[in-house]
Amino acid sequence: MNLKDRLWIIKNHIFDKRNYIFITILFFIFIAIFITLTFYNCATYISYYEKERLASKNINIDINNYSKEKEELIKNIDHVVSIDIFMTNASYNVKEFNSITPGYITISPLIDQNDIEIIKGTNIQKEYDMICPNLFYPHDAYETIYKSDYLKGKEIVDKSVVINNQTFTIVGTYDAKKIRNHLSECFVSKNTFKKLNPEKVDTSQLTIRVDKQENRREVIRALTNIDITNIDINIINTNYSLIYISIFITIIILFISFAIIYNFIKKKLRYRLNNYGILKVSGYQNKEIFKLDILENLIVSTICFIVSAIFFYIVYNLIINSISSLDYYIYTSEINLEINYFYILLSYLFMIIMIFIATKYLNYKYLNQSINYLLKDE
Amino acid sequence: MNIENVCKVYKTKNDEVKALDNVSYEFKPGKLYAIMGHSGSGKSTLISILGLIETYTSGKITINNEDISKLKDNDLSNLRMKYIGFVFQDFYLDEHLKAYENVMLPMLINKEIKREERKEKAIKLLTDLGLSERINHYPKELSGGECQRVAIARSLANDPKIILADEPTGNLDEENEKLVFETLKDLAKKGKCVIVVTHSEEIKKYADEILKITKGKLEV
Repeated sequence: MNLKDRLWIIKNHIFDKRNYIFITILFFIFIAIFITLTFYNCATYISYYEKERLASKNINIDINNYSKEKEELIKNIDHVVSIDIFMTNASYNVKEFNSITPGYITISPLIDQNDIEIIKGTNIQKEYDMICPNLFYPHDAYETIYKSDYLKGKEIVDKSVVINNQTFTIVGTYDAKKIRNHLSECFVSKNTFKKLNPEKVDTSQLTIRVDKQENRREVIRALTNIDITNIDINIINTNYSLIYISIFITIIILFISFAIIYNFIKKKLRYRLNNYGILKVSGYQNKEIFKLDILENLIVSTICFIVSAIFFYIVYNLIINSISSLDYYIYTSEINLEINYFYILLSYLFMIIMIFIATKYLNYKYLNQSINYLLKDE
Repeated sequence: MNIENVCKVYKTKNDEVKALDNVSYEFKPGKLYAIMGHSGSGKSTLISILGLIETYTSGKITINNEDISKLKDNDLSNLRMKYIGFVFQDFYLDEHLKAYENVMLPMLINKEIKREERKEKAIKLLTDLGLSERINHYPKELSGGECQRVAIARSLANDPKIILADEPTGNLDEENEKLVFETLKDLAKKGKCVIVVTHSEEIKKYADEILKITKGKLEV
């Protein structure tokens, strides 16, 4: 029997009332899974906040007791990417892209081009190139944030910003949330920054850039071994409790989901045992009946997934957008409430696996009984 | 179809029940056989075994000179598809399918029937059984007799040589009962081997041979 024939049989059963109940159950299961996975996504983001910040890759040392020889030794330490004079960021009031509206941005020097992930346009290449967040809010955090005031991607690239009578061109946008930057923080090249903000350069300190936050300790140990002791250690702690809680909740939800799905598929199968008995009497093999069953369950669950995903997307965004206090946290990148679409697809895959396992096992359990048993089961 | 010394023993916790005791018989095409007996005599067990939907404890069954005892489940399914049509007391029609769609179901696994021919064949079978005006009706819209005739049409879908009917008129009134027996008699006249298990004395008017079964033993 080919797929067309199977679909012909199934199409008449899709609208069985038991499938409506199945869809309703699956709908709520999907919503529950989407919520827990979004919570997990948020928990991971918050837990790794300190670790992912750009500053977590920096080690600041006092320039006293420092020499050219030591500079060479530092450069040779494993995991050290660069050494530079200490620079803090600088804030400016700007006209928002030459409009009348006042704006406010923070400028930081780009130490390493690998620090940021370019989303649109290009990275800094020329002296007066600038990179801004892909979701850009060129205002102070303490102003009232309106969603409609956010600028995105295409609206930003190739625009000009004037700072200290110097015109900068925005050549690209970066993912600010990835490095936990505020949505008003932009980058210019190191040298440009020094020229623009000499007062922000602290020649009494050096900043050592490490390749990964995990390697800070090792580098600090190596620095003390070469008698560099005035180190701003800045211990970074990752609190995993939120992650553990979200994983625990997700596992519980998945177990409960499987139990519900298993029981429902079992009831549906038992309801159909007479039908399957007749199919077997007519010459259908167990594997053919299994294919019919699994195909129907997969079609129903896919329809349900699409409906629940759309519903979740709409309702979730409505709720998030209506809570104004969240705007500050979104602006400061302290929280990430975005839906992770990969996790959503993963939940669909997991559901398919659960349905497949339940259907396969139950078909094996029941269809291997005698045909008389199938026909007489009520 | 030939059965030799077939026994069926059901084992319970404390006991053994011998449903069939050394049953032997040869069923030939072109005849209507009636198997009669009291409740619990083994009639349904016998017809289930003949229909390959129940296993047997010992003995030998051959269909078309082929010994079925060594066949696996999939091979038995193929045999059922090719040679056997079964009619049950409770019809077992799919309530989500129309009459002609119920008849088409067994054809879907028969590679010898092309897709384009299925519907036409199903409609012809129903028409031959006097159901030309009920082709597009669902089982819940049909009377008991009509349902049973749809079930008979379905059993004929793959043109089997053997038709087995287990209490086909158990849920029908007298008029419909006669109609069903006449239909089965016509099938026997057309060369099929028709075996009917029934309580009804009415079958005696139609059967070519009457077999009585008592406590698992077959008497001709």
